[in-house]
Amino acid sequence: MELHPIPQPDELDIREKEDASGAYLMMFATTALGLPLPIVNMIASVVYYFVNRSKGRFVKFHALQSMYSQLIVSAINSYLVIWAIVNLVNNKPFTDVFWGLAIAVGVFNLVYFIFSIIGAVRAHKGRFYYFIFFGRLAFVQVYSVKEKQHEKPVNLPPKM
Amino acid sequence: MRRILIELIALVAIGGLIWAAFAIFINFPSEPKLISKEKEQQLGEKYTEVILNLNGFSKVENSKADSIFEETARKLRSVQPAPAYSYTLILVDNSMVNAFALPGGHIIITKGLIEFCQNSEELIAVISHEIGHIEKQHVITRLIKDIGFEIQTSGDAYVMGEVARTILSSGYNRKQEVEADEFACELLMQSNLEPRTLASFFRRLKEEQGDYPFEQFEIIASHPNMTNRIKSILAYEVPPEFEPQNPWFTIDELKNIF
Repeated sequence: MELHPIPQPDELDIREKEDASGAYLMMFATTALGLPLPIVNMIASVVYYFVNRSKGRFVKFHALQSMYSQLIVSAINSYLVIWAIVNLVNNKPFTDVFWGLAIAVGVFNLVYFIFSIIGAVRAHKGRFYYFIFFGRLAFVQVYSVKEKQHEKPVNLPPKM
Repeated sequence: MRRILIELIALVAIGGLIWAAFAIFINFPSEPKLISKEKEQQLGEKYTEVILNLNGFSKVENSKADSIFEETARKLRSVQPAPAYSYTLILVDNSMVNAFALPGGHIIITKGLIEFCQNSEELIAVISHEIGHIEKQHVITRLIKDIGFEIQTSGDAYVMGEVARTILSSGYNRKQEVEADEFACELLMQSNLEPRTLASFFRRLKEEQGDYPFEQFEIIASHPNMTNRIKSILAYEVPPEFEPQNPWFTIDELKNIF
């Protein structure tokens, strides 16, 4: 797989590092609303990605990695919240399966929280940090040279 | 790409394993752990004593009332296939239209309720509803959930007084009320009494006391949507050959006490 050049920390300006770091920190800013309404975090991460994706590959990678992981975590959180609401409305008991998922979701959120802090710190230093699965996925999407980019150039210098 | 796929599978597997591990190996009680019948009985006796010492809850001492209530408790117990409790019905001199169950099978009935009932079937229907809360263990479940066992068993007089007031003011959830209604209908049927009397009692109470008459009436306090409960009780299926009998006492026998 051919890759675009991977920037080293000293090749990145401070603005890029801050924007890349912001992709993770943004999640903490929306946590207060995101706990009861996980969709808020989901929307925030998508908006952040689309606003910042044109600010260079380094920023795009971190924003995309943060968005992918946030989407999955938010989806699981939403599922749990909906399940709890359905149980409460219908007066159904909270089964062991529910509580098992609740704890698993709690563990996932905690891991995600820790990874996000590390990701934010690394990004702020101009470095990469790869989450399991999401890191590779985002990297491939941002840094792999796509077929189109190999097409024969149309504009050429004049024949000398 | 293969590494991405492997990581995805690993991630899903780890998540699934954590979920399964917590769901299978850890027991999360959906209801609080209940106490033994003996302890519940002791608790009930203790709180009955405390409640009877509260203002407006003095016990009516009357041999006629006692014998009617003993007979009622005995009959309502004897028709059940496997009752877990013995019932003690206690009449108190309080003008509120009210009845409530305490732990261990104790049921407090107010003078106001006796005066409100048009016939003895209505009173027996209300008592059957309270027995439903007792037999379905709603009483002790609610107390442990709301108050906590450690506090309930505290010997401190002040704490006990507060717990007793909490018992008087707190209600059951919708599911528990519906279960108690169903239990009451079943019990009335087994006693050869008209099960739908409970519905007419609720309707009358609603009509006479307006849209929100139930704040002080425990058996319906937590559920303003009485219409649904009345409908459910009226929908209770009674076999065509069922012929309700007259109860073993008349309401006037109790009313004449006052």
